[in-house]
Amino acid sequence: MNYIKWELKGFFSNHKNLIIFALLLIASLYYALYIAPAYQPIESVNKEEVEARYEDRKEFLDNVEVRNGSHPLTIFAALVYPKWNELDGERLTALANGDLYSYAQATHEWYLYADENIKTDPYDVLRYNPRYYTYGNKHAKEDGHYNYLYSAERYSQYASANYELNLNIFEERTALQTLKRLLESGLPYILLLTCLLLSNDIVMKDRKHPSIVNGFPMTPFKRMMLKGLVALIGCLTSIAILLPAFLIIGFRDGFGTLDLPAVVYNFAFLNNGTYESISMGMFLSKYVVMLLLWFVLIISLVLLISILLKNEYFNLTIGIICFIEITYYQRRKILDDWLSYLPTSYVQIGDVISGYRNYALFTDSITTEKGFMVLFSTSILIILLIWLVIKKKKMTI
Amino acid sequence: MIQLNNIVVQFGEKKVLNGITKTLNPGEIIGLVAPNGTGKSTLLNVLMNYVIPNQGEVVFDNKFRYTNKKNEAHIRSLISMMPDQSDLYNHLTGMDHLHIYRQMWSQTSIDPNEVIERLNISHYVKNKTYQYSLGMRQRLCLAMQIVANTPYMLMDEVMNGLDPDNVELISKLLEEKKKEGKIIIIASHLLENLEKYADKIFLLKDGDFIYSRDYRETVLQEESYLKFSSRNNSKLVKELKGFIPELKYEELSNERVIMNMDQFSMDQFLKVQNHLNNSQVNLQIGVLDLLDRYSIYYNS
Amino acid sequence: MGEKPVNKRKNKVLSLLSSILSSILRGINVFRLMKTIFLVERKNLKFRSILSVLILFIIGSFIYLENSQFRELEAATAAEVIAKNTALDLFRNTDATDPEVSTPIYRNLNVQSNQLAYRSLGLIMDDDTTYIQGAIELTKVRHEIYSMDGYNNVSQFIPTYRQNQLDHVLYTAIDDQNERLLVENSNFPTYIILLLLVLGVGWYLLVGIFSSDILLDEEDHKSLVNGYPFTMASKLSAKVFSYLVYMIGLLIITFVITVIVASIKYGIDLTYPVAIFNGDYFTIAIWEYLGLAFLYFICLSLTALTISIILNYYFKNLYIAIFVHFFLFFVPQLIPALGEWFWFLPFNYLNFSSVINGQVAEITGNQMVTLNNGFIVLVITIVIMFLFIYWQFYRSQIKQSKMVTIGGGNV
Repeated sequence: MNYIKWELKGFFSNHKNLIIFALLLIASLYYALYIAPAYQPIESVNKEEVEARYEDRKEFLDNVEVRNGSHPLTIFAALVYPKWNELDGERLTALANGDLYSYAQATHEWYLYADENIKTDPYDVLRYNPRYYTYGNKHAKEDGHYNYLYSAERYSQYASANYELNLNIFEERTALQTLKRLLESGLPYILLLTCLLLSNDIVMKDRKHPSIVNGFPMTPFKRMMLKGLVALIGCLTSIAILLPAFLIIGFRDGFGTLDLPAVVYNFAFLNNGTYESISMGMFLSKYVVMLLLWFVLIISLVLLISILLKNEYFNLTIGIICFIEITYYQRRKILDDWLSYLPTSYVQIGDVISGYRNYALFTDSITTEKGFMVLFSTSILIILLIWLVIKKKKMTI
Repeated sequence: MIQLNNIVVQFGEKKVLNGITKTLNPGEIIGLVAPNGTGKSTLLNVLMNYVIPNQGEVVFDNKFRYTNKKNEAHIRSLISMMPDQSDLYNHLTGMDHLHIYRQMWSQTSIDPNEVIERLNISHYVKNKTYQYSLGMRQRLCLAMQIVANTPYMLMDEVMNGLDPDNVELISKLLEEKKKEGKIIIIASHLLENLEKYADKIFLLKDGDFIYSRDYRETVLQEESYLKFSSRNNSKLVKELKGFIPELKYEELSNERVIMNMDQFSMDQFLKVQNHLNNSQVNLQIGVLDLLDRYSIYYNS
Repeated sequence: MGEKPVNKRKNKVLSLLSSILSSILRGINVFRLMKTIFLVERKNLKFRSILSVLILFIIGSFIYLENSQFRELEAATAAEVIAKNTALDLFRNTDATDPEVSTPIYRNLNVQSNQLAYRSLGLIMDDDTTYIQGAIELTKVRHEIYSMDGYNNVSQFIPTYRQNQLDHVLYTAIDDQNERLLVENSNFPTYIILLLLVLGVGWYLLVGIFSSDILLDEEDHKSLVNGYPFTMASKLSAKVFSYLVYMIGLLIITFVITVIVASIKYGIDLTYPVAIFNGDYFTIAIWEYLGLAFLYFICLSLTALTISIILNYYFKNLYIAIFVHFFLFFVPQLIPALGEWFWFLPFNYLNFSSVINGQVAEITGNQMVTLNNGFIVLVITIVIMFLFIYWQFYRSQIKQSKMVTIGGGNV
């Protein structure tokens, strides 16, 4: 379609869009070069730490003598430490031998065992990794629990992996894993706001050229849809711009493979859900689909507001939808089910797909499939509204 | 063929177009003449459906009407309005503009290079448009429409900002387009030019055509007038009244005095002629031209 | 001509009078222009979009407070206990086994445990005094830990020095003034604190975005605006004034709506203490806090307006203006070292919330970044910017008139 070509030309010669692309590129390169290398996962492969714990407990176990009058804590420790230390021992041996598959297997078991004991600890003396318990974290124990079982699932997949393992994979530093981590934190906000900024003048820019564009032999609805398509292509370009950063991380820390596990939490009553893995490829595909739905939703909102209110500033206010969720989704709050039918509940796409949202919010109402459905039907509804408005309204821009 | 059927456009109380009915045939250049604010642009906008008439309809080729968006899109592939020069995209080149028009009207459009050659714009068309002067912009706008090459073309003040060379160039081009069977409607107040190339002229006043003229037909019984213009018309008229007391005359806003020839006897005519010649005033005998008509109708 | 001296004096007086009169008239004219611009801009949808954003924000803030644990003591105290216990764990193997050799930091943490226990007890027993006393003592004990050896090992488990000081002055003030303890967060003071926290972060950016095309909309009808019979300076000041009037209006609307709604919902309380940092840590009453914020927001508005004007003048692109505003706003976060040396530069002061709670001073490591200095720096910035703008436009006007006389006026 030639109109598309024309709009694309306008889109990619638009100063604002070029600035956005440049900023995105700079920010992503900065991330790849400076921030990503400084990443310190809590669940790292830390030989010294394991060794220190192993030696400590070994000394205790070697000397302890459980009698009738022993302190309950001593009895408790003597009960849980042997198996624990055995696993730590296995991990150390595996690391020393460079056998990462057995390290993964031992670590998998270690996490399961540790979590089981910490969770059921009657004396409140065992703790998850201290880095969860920083000042002000009201959910330290929950965070630890989630991450231990998450790691347990992850390592069980590594243990039976048919790809080469390395420490970067264990510490989730490869390019794909870094991408996944970003997609589960701030990146969706950046992508959605970028989409809004890129598309927000797609209709309004025509206002300065009415005698050229109004006479085009094309129905206004079709024109709107083609504009939307161009904006969508533009938004996808913004993702392509992140590619150099991806490559930098990839060449430095390895790319990882699409077979890497992406852990998904299935909520069950009292958050005793199960942890399963889907492949990284699957995770990314789901992510792309949901992201595309979001793009379509935002772009169609821009189109609708543009023809209704004809003001660029109103389009910018669409950005608010990224942050509405914060007002009603809070941890430790009992949630109404209907909230999950709002599209705004699916802004944190990565957490929705991984099920972490359900874990954090203590609910089973936010699922990927529902997210697809809600976003899809909202988009359709908005597009229908556009169609109606255009039909009712005399359409000049 | 375009049929205007009883077009009424009303803005509030004011009737801008008041029941216009007209049929326009292929192969015509139509001049639409009126001062500003008399509904000239409104009429063009009705043809484009930018303004929806309160009453009446426009019919294209006997069958297409602006009844829904789909028809609208189809009709717009037949009709184009010359873009406004302030609407050009500053950061794009003239060539870009021509290409989009070529592509948007792909069924009828012609090769931009032909048009570039014809309109003599090749030396600047590859530059971005913010560098253009008014005349350059104007020619680009026309070129865009010529590239689109739709059967019906609407042009608002097409000759604005052009020097005489270019006026000539464009007149010829329009002539050619007419011969291809197009309907070209030109709204303007530059009367002298219009008369040279338009086939029909409509004067618009009070929402209707008050005068129309088809230059391809010679009007048989048209009255002849004696016309003169000078620096002090009133003094001359006074002198003339000295020997023809019952003189009927009219002084137009274009500073011309016209007198119907029928009122003079041979003797009187000679006297008048003599007197004016002696006063070194240039006098003409003939029918009323467009300028005169315009002055008569829009005098008050 | 032999004029009498009296006449001369009379003439002088007359000319003086007429010059005064004409300047008054000019003032009236500028005022008239201001009114025109204001009336035109008022119809601008942009103004309404900002208003709708603010209203959405007000609604959102109430919903948020309803749902969140913002400043709720129970959860906060529980989290503090866990964090402190984890810190203690670090010493379990060495210090705890042998009290003789235990480090001061370990002992300090143990004392903290006691005081924290008072706080928990106070909450359980619904006893404000116990909690407040525990809290005050706790901040005193903690005050000592920051200078101890090995503090860095436990720093992540205890509040920062700044947070501790704020707590200290707050609970001391609550104790002195016999105020009640706000255990839950659905009350007037907490709402106002939340409101000003978010508004304080966003206000500069809001005005920045809003004013990002302050000069650009004239480009659309240049021939109209340039034709107004006024100097560039008066046109500009009229524009700035009308924007400022609108921003102050929005501010007043926001403050009035929120205070009214909050006092209906929670009951009004304008004297509750709020802890702030201004070189020193102390508390002020809620109404003082509101007033300070109001004045500061006006300064921020003017700063944003002047920056927008300059950016518009040079770049003629509203998105560039928006991006630069965002960049300036985040400079202290992106490059904290800059603030350490250049505490007198305005970008340190664009975030009201983190200036007044001492966060900027904390991350830049320079105690000069205070609210007072913020006011001074912003006002000086505004004056300098206006002088610069005036000079720029004055120069450009001369340039333009020269070009017109030369005949190359097509810029």
